[in-house]
Amino acid sequence: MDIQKINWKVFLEDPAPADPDIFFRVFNTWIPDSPEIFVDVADYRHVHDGPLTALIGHHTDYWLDETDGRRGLLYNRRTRTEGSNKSKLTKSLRDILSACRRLEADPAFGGKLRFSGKELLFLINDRAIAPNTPETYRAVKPDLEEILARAAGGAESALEHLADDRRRFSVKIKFERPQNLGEMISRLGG
Amino acid sequence: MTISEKETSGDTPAEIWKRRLAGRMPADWAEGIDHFETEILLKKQGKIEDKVFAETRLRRGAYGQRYDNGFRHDGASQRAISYPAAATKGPNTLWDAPGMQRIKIPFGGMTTEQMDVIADLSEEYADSICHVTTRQDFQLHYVSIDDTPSMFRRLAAVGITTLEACGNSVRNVTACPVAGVCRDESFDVTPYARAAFRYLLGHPDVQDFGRKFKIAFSGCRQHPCGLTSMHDLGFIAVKRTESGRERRGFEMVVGGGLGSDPYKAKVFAEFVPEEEFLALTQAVCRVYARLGEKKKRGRARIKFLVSDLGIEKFRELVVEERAKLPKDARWTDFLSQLSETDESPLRSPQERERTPGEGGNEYEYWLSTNVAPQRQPGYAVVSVTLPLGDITANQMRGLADIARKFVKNTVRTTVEQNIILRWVSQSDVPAVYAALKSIDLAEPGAGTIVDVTACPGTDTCKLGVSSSRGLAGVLRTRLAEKSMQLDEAIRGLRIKISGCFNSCGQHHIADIGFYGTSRNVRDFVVPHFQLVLGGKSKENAASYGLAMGNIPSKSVPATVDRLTDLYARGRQAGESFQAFIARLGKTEIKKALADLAEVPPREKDASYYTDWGDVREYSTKDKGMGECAGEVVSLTEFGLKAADREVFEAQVLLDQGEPQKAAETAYRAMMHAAQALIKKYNIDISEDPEAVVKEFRSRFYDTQIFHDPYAGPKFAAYYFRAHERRTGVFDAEKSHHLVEEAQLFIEAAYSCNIRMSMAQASSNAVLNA
Ligand code: HEM
Ligand code: SF4
Repeated sequence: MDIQKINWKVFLEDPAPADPDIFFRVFNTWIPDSPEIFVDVADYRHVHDGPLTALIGHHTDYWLDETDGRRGLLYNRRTRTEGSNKSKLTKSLRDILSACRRLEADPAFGGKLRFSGKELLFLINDRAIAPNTPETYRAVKPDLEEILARAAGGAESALEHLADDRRRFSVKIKFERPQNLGEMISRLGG
Repeated sequence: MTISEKETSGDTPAEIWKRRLAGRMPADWAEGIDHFETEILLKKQGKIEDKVFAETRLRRGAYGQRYDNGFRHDGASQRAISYPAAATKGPNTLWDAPGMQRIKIPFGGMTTEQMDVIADLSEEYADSICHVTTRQDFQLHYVSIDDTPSMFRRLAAVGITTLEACGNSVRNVTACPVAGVCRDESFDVTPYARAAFRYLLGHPDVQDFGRKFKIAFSGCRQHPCGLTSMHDLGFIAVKRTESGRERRGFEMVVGGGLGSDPYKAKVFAEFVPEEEFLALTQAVCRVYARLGEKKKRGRARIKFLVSDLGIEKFRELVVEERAKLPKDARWTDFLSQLSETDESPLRSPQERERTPGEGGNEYEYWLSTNVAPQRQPGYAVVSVTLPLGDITANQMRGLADIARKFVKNTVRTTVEQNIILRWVSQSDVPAVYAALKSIDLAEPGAGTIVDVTACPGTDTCKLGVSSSRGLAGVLRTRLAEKSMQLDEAIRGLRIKISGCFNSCGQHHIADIGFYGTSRNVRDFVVPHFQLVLGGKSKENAASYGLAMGNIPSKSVPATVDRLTDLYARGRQAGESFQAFIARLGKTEIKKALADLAEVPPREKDASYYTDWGDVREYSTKDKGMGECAGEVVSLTEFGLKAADREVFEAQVLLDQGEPQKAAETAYRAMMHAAQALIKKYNIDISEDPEAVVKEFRSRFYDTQIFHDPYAGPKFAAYYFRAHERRTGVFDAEKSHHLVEEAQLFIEAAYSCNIRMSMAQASSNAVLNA
């Protein structure tokens, strides 16, 4: 299958410093002069179990997301991407990890923001091309495993298909040993 | 659902949905969506005018959104957003720019299946947020126009259409959300609201309005749920006994509306019997289409027509029109299906056993504000408070599950931007509370001062001046903290906020209303809100508030505190807020708020110079042209565009090796182009090919109006010949010729329309000189 609409989520070591207000301010600074096309920042602090602060892009969104009660950075690809599945997975994973690093380094968080290298969430945000079925999982798994192994420098990761048929196709990934985000980025060619 | 590998391989998502949902959509809806998909294609190829495409998508509820002109102010200067595609989807509206999709929910009634689908769509096409509007609709934001056909198909498969959710058409038909379970209603208006929606959807008589048209139903006169008097057309349920027999009917009101120029609807008739209300509605629509203003958008709502003519004259015209209408069986057919919208409970009725302090203070407070007994003993209506009308996809699915467990498909959206569950067995209320709490939807305060209503404002609306949602968020948080301590009279007040004078947040009918403005202060622009006091949502929005002066956005929370304080301390026994405000008078109130209207110098407090929910220095530069109803596109332009689409389809059929079908389609395209021109004179022209060709001949051919300045009658002759041969057999070559001739005929029809419009414009210029 041709993988599109890739979503990744990287969780936080500690949700406390990930204040939506600070994200709102920081995301706003990402818009001017960005090579990516960003449109606006939306504030959803008043709702639960979804985005808290969303940087909306033309191709890609970045959200401070709290779906299922777990805070993290979500990468949401909106437009079509060309290339092989492997290249799309590599690039998108590298992009979200780089965004995490950029946020960690932003002085607005006072050095307290830390993303976790223990786990990831992978989603395909399209119920037409990727119904949440075992077939989709079978089709995606080999490429996904290969890219994750490359990112983790050969370290094992455990994949779990979250097979709730009302939810989008999602895979929970747990690394055997915690990964350093910077190292993962360089292994992915960043 | 199991989907085979084959089905999903190599196809685009749009193709997959189209195939997967084939046969599950009403046929005419499916066809309309196919047409819209073709129009998207043609627009991308530059074959449809911006103005026409904008109105086409608006009629399907696909709006523009802030920054869709490709610019955004970052606080210091205006920056270009370099969307890749050069195409546009309307005047000054870039193709790639995100849009807002409005989803029409007639009378707010939803099934759990529909809730699931809206949740899915918000995830895949928007930002996982489903937003309930002030007219019981849903809106999704940041939607790409390319995704809309799939979205429409997925909605159509569960019985939802977005058709006429926007544009110059009949918008969502709203009704009291408690219709059918309300203790005070005359009768359940639900089936009547449904009948009005069904009858008017796509009806030829509602296609030529100068502006939008909103209809509301109310079960009684005294309560605010229906808000009939602020609508273009309102129906209040009334029962009458005639010769010992009880009859159902409506008090019909017409010509109300908010906006910058609010009008209260006038009583058209005290009693319109149920079997007559659709016929009369149709007559009203015809009179509005014929006589309503088309050019000056600011005067185009029916309220201006009714006011200019006077209600007596308007009534006379409508009654005359009604007498001329050919009888339509659908006016009364629905009366035999009234019970179809009747609801039944899932669980048996049981009174709630009250153990004092059963769930703690929080639960008790929620119970007092969010739960009300139904007319049917043993059942309650539970309000689910949605902050700013927003609910996430996961919460929406969670709420659908709660509905499945405790009630049937008896869920409705409200104009307060909440969702209600009806037919909750009283004994289940504690369990429903616990279930709602588990998905963070057990916020108390529905219908109280905390439950602030707000339009999209500067968050997403192109016309927004100040941040209505930002302000509403701040007010909610502040008021929620102290709501349990608030005096009962204050708790019952309603706050409604609009981002500009257009009043989408319905600020006129709030006790305390605000609308966005801006003021120049010491060389800076500062966000403000105009304070509007004394409006009333009770008695179907019976009175509108008055503007009291501008307050800087940042001082609005303090203003609310000051006003509620004044009321708490100064009110006389039993005195309503409106009466209190009237007694105090405008001068006194202005005096009491004078210090709050001041803006400190920027060096002293820079926060005044940034709006709520924003970090940029305030600017009004992002304001654009609104798309409240798009452009007025004539029936002729619409018809020509449909002909264009048909001739395109004919080409496709030809390519697919179907010459006969291609020829039939090409002929139909010609006929529709001719029909479109005839509509300039006769909007009731039929679909009968003989009638069309005859009228085209007499009006356009014999008069030489259609004659091309160079080619003379040549193109008209193509049509006449095609008409004569329309039942013949067409091989590939013949069909090819016909398709080409159809193309030329349609081009000629466009030219003719332009020539006629120019002639009209120059004669207007002479008249106006
Ligand atoms: C000149 C342009 C506009 C005018 C005059 C206008 C006027 C109004 C008025 C008076 C209402 C509410 C009261 C009623 O039902 O009559 C309304 C409803 C509403 N408007 Fe607007 N509006 C305009 C443009 C917009 C735009 C651009 C947006 C956002 C994209 C918007 C969003 C809304 C919403 C969310 C509602 C509740 C609507 C519903 O569900 O039908 N409006 N509009
Ligand atoms: S009131 Fe103004 S800002 Fe608010 S939605 Fe309507 S047009 Fe936009």
